[in-house]
Amino acid sequence: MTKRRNDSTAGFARAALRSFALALLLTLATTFHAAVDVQSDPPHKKSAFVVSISEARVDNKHGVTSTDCLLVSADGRFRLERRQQALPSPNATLSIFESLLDSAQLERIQAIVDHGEISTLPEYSAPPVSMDVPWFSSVAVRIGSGDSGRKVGYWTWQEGTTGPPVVAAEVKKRWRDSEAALRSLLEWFHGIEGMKLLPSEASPTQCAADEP
Amino acid sequence: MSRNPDCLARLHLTLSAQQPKVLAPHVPIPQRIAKSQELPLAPAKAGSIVGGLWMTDPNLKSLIYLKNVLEVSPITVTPLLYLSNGKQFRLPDVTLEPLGTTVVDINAELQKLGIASYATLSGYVEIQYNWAWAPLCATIRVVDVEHSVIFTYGMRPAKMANQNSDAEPSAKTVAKGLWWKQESAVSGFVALSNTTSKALPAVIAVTDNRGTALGTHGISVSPHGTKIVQLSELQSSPANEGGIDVSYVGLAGALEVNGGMEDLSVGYSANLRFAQAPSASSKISELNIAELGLMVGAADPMMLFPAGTTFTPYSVLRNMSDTQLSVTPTFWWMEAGIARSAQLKALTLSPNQSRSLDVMSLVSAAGLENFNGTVNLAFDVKGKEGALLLAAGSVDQSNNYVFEVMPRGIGESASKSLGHWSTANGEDTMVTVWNPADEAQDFVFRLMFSGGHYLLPMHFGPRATRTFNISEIVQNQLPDAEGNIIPTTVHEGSATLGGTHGDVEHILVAMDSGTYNVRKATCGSSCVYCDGYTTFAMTPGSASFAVQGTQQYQFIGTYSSGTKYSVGTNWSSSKTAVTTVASSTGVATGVSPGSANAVAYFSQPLYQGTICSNSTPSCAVASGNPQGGATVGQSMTLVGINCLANPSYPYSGNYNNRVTSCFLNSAIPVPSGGVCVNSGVTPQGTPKQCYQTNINGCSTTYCVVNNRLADSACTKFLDQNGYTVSKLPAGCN
Repeated sequence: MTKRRNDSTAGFARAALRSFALALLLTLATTFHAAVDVQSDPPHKKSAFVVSISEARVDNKHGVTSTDCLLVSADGRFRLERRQQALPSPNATLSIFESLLDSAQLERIQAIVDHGEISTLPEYSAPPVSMDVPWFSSVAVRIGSGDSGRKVGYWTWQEGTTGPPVVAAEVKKRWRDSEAALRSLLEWFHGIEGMKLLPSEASPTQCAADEP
Repeated sequence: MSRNPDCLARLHLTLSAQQPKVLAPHVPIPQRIAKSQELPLAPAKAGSIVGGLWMTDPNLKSLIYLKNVLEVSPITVTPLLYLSNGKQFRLPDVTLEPLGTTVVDINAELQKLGIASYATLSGYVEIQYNWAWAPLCATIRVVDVEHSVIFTYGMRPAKMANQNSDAEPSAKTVAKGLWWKQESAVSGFVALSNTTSKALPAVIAVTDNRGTALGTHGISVSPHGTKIVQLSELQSSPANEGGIDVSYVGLAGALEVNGGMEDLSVGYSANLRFAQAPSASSKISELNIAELGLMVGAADPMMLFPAGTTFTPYSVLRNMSDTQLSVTPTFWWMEAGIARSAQLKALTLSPNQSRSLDVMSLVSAAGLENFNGTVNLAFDVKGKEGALLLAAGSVDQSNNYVFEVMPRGIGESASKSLGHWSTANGEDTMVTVWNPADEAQDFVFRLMFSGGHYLLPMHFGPRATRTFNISEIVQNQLPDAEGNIIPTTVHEGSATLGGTHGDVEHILVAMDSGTYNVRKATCGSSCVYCDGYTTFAMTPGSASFAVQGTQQYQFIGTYSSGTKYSVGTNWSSSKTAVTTVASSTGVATGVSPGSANAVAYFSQPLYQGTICSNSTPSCAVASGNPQGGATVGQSMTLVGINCLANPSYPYSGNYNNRVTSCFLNSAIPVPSGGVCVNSGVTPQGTPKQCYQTNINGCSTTYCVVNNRLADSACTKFLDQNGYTVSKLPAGCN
């Protein structure tokens, strides 16, 4: 887990950590060695992508909004874009990193997204609610590209003093299921975020990929 | 003048079209910007125009003719008189109504300053104004009624001339002039006015028609001073024409160079023509120049000249460049309402050569031996840009009546204006208009005067010419299309010749005018200048809009009258993946987040209030591909509100683009002590939390807006004012 998590988020993060600690250690160990600095031919230019992960956290209590995204191409190249806005700044700072996964890592991430739990998740759609809460988080994952691509994800939040958002029970359940199914993918993503990567001069794309 | 038998052989009558067709302009007419969008005008700035030579003595009177070219505003100007010793006299401010004219009597103003109006004085004039561009056209007329002598001098923006900095310009400037002798007793003078604050040494070199030196005058002109040098060598020279070179070290315009030729015994006078010599690097170009309204034969009875008065035209040329110049003259005249022409063989002028054309021989060779009327002499010029200096006009057999015409460059333009016309005190203004195109054109001649205007529609067949007197229009008392007439009590004003669709319509026309007085035997050419655009601006210079959102771009030109027009055409996008731009309207539509440019094309005439000075430019045209920045952003929707969750940032809105997963937070500056209240609804239809303060009985409610625009990189909002503020009750604002 990164230090960017605040106390409020620690609860749900700890649960995830317990369940997938072993998997994460294995993943990170491999990834640290497998990530190679690549500055040319960004992944979004050439290859169909395997997965695009976007995680946003809005912390109203501390006035911090962070939006991170990762795009992994079928050939192993990946791009990480990290945005953070801390009030009172009206702008977000942006850092972009590009690197390369080795074939083992690529097989690993492919295996995660191909897992039955994820492949059967329902399509993710944005919540029809207003999140007037101390913090909320949104995770959106796009698996595959083109017409066969699917978007899954979920919202989480801490209910505040103004009362919880009115979210239908079935939607809440869908998000809880999605959160559970995507936990291994998110842990892998956080592992990538924790790596020491060299910054890239590439232009921001918000991890959007050209369709093949 | 002897008739040259070779002329017949050299003459090619071209009564039918044998040359490439010259077409009238057919370009879209710019649309005027709505009046509500015309303001604000460009910020005013102090400026001035300088020029002229004014002279007074017991016989000489000097007058400054001023015209306000602005339609949208009156203008107040301050005339300054500089005496020959550099002393400055500030005259009272003059306010001109929109498009108004006025005349400043220098003799009378000197009298008010305690200086005898008959004192022998001379100098130059500066007119100060406070406007974004030179809002007036000015001409100085020096008249000696006793001797029937008149000189007319133009003025130009002082931008070039204000060299009051300490920097010493090292470049040599040469102004070249042209002299000719109508008869052997003609003498000439050159007046140099130093518009700078440092003394300027100068050399005046006079040459004959082959460039052989006749005399040299070395002088120094004191700061803001004027020196008049008599060219006595002209009278002793066997040559009938030649050149005058005025050289000095300084920027162009530092010395104002003017001059004249006269023979007081017969009442002959004419302006010496001067122009900036082309530089060694000037390009070879082709130019058309016309001398309009040259009078041939018996005077028009309508002009009330003494019986038996006949006119002979003259035309003198000088090649001011260091390379050969080719000139092909063509006569144009009207016969039974149809334009006729006769083209002559090309003349070659060697470097610095001067030459008088034997115009009457050429007229005869064209079969016009018994012709009485006016002709136009057009020149196709090939040589260095600005290399040809011309002087032309018509003189009667006594050399007393001299009708000078100003050679005009022919080119596409918008409207052209006449600085001043007069029918007062026995004067009349004669106007000649020529359609140089091989197709018909329609114009509107608009006479402006104090209290109104009068529209005179004019149809011109191909290459047709029309000469008319303003007095005829006044006397006819025919209502125009708007029901206006010119009251018989009106005796002066200004005029504009434009297309039938407005002043900004592109036309191809040449116009000349002169105000004459038969009793006083004087005729002064009038200031005819090019209307046009003074500034251009892309509006907006840059803009941000959303995917699927639209943005109107306009490339706006401010016309010399102060009105504004949308002059951009053929719009396009520099990156159609980001935005498209409708070709005819300039409306951009966002396609995907990113940056691009909305690109227009324009080609429009520039305002040249200086064409009344001694030069022969056609109206200058500016063209290009101006661009407006387009940032297509991503639409952001309000997904969350922070109200009092953080003491430092008590109220902010969270925005999200759900397609790109972009999140940004917008902090709203609110005073402390407020509370959260429900007001309005979010995009999801749920109650929206707003922040409200109650201070001194005033309730102020701050609400974040539902939709915003962020950049494509998801790092900042592109739009402004992401919140609303409402105050209650009324009066709390």
